[in-house]
Amino acid sequence: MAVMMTIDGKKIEAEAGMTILEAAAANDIRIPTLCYLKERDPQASCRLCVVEVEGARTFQPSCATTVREGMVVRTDTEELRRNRKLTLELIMAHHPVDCHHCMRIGSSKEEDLDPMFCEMCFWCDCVRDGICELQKLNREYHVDRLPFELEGYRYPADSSLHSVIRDPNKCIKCRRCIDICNNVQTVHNLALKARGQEYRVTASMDQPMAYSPCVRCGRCVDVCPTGAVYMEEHIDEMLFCVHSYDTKTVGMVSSSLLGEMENLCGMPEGSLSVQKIVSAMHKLGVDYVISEEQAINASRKEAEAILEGADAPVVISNSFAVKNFVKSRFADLADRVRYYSSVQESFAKEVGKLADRLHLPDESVKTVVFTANNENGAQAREENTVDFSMNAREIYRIFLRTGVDLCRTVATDALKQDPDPKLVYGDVTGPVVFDHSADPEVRRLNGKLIAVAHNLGQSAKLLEEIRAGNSPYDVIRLNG
Amino acid sequence: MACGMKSNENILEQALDLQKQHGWVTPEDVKEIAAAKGIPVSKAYETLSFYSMILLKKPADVRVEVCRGTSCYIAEGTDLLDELRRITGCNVGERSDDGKYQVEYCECLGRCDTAPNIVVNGKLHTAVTKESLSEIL
Amino acid sequence: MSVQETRIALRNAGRINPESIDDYINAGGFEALARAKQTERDRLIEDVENASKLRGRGGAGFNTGFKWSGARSSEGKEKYIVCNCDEGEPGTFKDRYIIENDPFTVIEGILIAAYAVEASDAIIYVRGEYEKPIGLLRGAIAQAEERGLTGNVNLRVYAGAGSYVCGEETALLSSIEGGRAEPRLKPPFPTDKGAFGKPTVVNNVETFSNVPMIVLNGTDWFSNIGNPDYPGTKIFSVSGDVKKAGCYELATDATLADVILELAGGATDGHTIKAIQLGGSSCGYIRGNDIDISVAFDSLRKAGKSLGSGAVLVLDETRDMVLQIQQILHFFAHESCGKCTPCREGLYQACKRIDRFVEGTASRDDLDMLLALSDLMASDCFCPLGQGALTAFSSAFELFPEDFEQRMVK
Repeated sequence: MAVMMTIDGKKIEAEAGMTILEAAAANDIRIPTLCYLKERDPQASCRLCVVEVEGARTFQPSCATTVREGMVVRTDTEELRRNRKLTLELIMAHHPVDCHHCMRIGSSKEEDLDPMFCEMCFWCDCVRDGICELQKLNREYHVDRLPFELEGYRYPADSSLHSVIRDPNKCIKCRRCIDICNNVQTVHNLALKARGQEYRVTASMDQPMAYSPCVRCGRCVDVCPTGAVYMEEHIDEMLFCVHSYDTKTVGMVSSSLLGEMENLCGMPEGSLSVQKIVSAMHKLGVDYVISEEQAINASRKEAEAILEGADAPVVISNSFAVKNFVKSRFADLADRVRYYSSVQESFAKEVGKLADRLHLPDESVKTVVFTANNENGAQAREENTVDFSMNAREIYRIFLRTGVDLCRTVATDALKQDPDPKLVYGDVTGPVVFDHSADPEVRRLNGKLIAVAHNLGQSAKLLEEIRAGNSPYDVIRLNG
Repeated sequence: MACGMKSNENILEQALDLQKQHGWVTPEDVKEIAAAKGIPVSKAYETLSFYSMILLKKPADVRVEVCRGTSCYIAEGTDLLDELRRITGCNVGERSDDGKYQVEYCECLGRCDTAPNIVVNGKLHTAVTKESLSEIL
Repeated sequence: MSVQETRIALRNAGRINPESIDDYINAGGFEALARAKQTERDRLIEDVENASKLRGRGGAGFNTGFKWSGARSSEGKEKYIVCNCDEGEPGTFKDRYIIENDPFTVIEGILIAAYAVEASDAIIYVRGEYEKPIGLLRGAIAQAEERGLTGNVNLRVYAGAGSYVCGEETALLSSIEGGRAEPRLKPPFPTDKGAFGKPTVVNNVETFSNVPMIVLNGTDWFSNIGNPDYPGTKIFSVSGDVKKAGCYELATDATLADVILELAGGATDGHTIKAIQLGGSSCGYIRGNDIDISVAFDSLRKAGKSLGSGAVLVLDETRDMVLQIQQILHFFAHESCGKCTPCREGLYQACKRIDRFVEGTASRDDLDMLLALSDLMASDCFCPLGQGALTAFSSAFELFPEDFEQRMVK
């Protein structure tokens, strides 16, 4: 059913049940948000998306208010802008500012810093500098001199895992990570603690991450709007390796990166290709590149071998997060899940073959993987599968630092391998894309009923069915 | 328990019961509560940490809570807090150096007609004066 | 004494033993429940909703019967009645007073509501600090169950554990479900999706205690008491600088002067009244010489004041508003659930500013920031508690600007 309404003086038609935010977005009216996460239930906690709805006593959060027939909404009045700015300033009063200095917000050190120097170096401490949603809004709303005393750094950062790192000082309490960790992944690690000024996000029971039920899927990192949760960076070490004459580096670029990289670099959708990133990788100084397809094919072959030899139902996975998840939550089913090499592990094996062929001594070869899945970073750290596994944000920062501009990079024609024609379950055993939905994907292939989980929550559902003995599937693929 | 109450139906009361036994809610208690309720431990801790009556850290031997309601505040004046500081050696929000005393604010106790009120180790004392304070402690 | 109390909710106070159901029954107790059960449900709700016009006594003044009919028409077999006894608003102690004197009238009111909306479950949520009322209610429920009066309603008491936000109905529901007491988005309203996702009626203790007498004496009787738009009585919890602090129940056409001067005996000897904070810490002030105003809900609202929970905090001329506001803001900062940014961070900053006033180092900037925060929070906060957190400040500044100005650096 359609609803007629007015937003900012523009008569528009919206679907009944839509929120004001969605209706506005569909009509190119942008409303600022910090806690809103597409496809998830609204939190309405950041209060930046508030809009004026005629007839309402207070401003309404547009992310959580559904449209009504004849509704009159204003999204950009002077009062709204003033309120949003004050809300941002309130956040910033507790936010350690170590992002791009020339936009440094009311920094206590601002007098000491020469803005010229900042313009030249482009290098700041915060992992989200330049790609931070909060920083972006601060610029939009001209938050520069804070009317409050700046108080940053009240809690120590938790780097106990050396992969997923949490800096509570940068947290703006949007709760996206809480939602993902608890409701999508059902890991139930991240939780809220206390209230008022003590209120913050902690690992389960306020323990260090290393002693928590965290399975290192890294999905929280992907949704954090600021630098409060991030993967440990190894930019310096990586650049040192690629710049050393006596080290040969072998790289791989995963196509899963493309969307996020386009987004971070402000490139139009579809304009980026793996080849471009490979070319950029060469610019950094990476010596050899193995194509993603080659590694995927190797992983798939392993999985096919498992499927061929096993009796139904067979549960397969090549995800590091799934391995950790099963260990902690489904210890009784640990023997039921058959693991095969992740693409990153297969890559490492292929590198070994390459090194043999080129007669390179093992210790002189370093491996670099560019991937969108943060679990790879954690696996590299814990199981030493590759030397460097980097996600889109880290890569963005490397390019920024070294002056590589993806928009102006010419694609190199990298070797591409076609999928092996002998693969029967090619689609099932290959890379699986993470999503937020509650139910696994079910399909039929060669007369077999196959379930593919796209997140840990779906994986948990499938495992629970197995535990209860009522799983109808022949093949189950788990993914984190 | 009487009147159709399942004893552990309410997570808060279960925690308060355990707190009465142990003086605070220990990490083991939180795990026990989570298991009894069939909820993740992180969720149980999250809930319990929200409520001010539930202590997730071991308190001092003598824990004094001073009501911060407006009625108590106007009845207290600063005398009472000065006296409290003299006896315990700590300001509100502090623990004494020897770890014996701990003074905190608590929310309105709903006893505004007999202000000022304080709570010592869970026991309510109404119409407290400078003189009765040392007796109580 | 010219002004008399009109006792409906407190009709049995001091007359019965609160631990004895026999006393209550001898005083005519549970007759209303029996009569209600002979009335058709829709008729009963219609009576409460339109004829008696009983409105919520917790602070929002919402039509009680409207909530009942909403929950009744909601689909679903399981329905909940929740009685809100999380009396956390500073200066309010009427619910405790009702229960300590007559827990049975609350239970009877709840059972009538449960019959009306066909509820299977009823929960009385009592703040954890109220140990004695919790014991009295549990005892009362046990006795009522013994007599078979609760029927098939699963009635029980939930104790809270220290949280002011629980007074907000959706936060209370979150707490009942075993979570953090955080307010939820409305809609869905509790009458559609309340406790455990089931249709739920949430009413205040005082509201429920009025129900038996309405059923028993008829809607005409009730709607003729007090102000026609907010009929019946209201209990005022009077505290502060008065001779006789306590609870007083008056018809709603009384004036604030009746409560303070006549019943509570006026200011303590040798003092005059400077201001009254009516409704609790989230409400504004009234000048001491303006107390000749009606306490009716709507007329107060028109005057820009609010009845709130009926708390009456009397301040004499020796009281400094800045110190009052400092207490209130620190209280709210401690109680903020932290969910929304303006409340969590705004109160923190507001506390720092008001502390400067107390230290005597405040500047014009501090005052402007407090006013700006007050505007922001009133319009942007998630729940009414955040929206009202700075109301006391803006009202105090409006009425007594000199208290603030004399503490500013010249």
